[in-house]
Amino acid sequence: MRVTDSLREQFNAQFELVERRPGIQQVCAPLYHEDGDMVDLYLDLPRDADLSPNRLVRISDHGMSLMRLSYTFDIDTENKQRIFERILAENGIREQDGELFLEVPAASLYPGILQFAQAIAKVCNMRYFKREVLADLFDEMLSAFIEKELREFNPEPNVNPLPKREDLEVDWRIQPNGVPVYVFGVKDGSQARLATIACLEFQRSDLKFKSLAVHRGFEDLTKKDRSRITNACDKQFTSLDEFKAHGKAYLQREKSHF
Amino acid sequence: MSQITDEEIAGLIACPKRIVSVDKKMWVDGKFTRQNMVLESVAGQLSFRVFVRCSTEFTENFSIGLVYHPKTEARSATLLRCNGKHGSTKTYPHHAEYHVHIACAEDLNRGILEPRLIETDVNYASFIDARAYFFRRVGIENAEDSFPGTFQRRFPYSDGEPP
Repeated sequence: MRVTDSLREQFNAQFELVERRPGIQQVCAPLYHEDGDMVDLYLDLPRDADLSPNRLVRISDHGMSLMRLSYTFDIDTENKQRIFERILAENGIREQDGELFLEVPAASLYPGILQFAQAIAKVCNMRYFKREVLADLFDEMLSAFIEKELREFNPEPNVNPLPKREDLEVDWRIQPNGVPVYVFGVKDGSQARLATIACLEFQRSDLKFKSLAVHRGFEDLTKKDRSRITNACDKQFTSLDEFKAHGKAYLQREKSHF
Repeated sequence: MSQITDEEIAGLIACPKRIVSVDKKMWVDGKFTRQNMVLESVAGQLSFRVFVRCSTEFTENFSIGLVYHPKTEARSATLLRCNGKHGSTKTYPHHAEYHVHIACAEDLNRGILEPRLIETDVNYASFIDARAYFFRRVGIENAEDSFPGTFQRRFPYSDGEPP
């Protein structure tokens, strides 16, 4: 069988309309979310509708996409709202009272369904913008900044200042002057506590050093974790953006004071 | 998420828990109603969140999910999710029945945080039934405090009659 015939046959065979309510047909097609659930697609027309090519047909999700997204992600900030609206605009989708929809002429129903399904997937993938996902990018972004912008200070990754204490590894050693600056990337409370312990142990061992913590989000730490690391660490930047904006200047001052 | 086994996942799902906080009632958000809960294990070491969602247009289409928040990591994962009838699934095409999604160790250890295993042999046939089923399955001990009447009382029968 020719591939085009095979595809035509497969596409036709795996497609069905199921009436969910009078005037609302669910499109059953092999379009699935990552967890194996079928993408929620509906056509707002009677099951036996006779379609002239130019008749407009509404393809809708009846609110299911935002319901699914809300399991683990809420569009609750201006930034998120902006991203959401951009996804809709770029994919030609409209939204009303939480329902996403697309109106197409009947003659374009099939490509319209595929276009709509792709847009739903993009909306549902907004969950990848969750803080915890962005947290994984924090280390990469911090390393990229240090390697590119702080090269003059001879950065060195994954350093163990105390022999036989590999548990007190420092993310970066930077040398603005004769005294090393140990940099800790702090993503969460657990890392804040590790950095605190490391700084206190280095102090106890009479090492000559300065400590610098770069937080993913200082305000996300508990009060106790904030208090502990503030008392143990010499210098902190409350966010990566702050470190990028002022870190180099701080290190240059350290260099000039020596 | 750090390495985990299927036995550990089953343990996290079934360990006794209690509701620490819950939205007073389901509230409307666009085309669905929603309610969130925070749980902790009775032993006090483990943190979870529950999301409850129900479509206002298709009331048979709902989801009640258990999300695990490890204290040592920023990432969270949905371990179990009770679904209503929303259409077919990849595992069971053209199979529009109540079903449960469960996370598996192989997926979580590969960084796939969506619960992809699907069970269709479930003991509920409505949202209210599903909520009771969920509370039992995830071991919530104080569900009746926040949701009175959740568990249907057993009527006393005379000896010889079925329970």
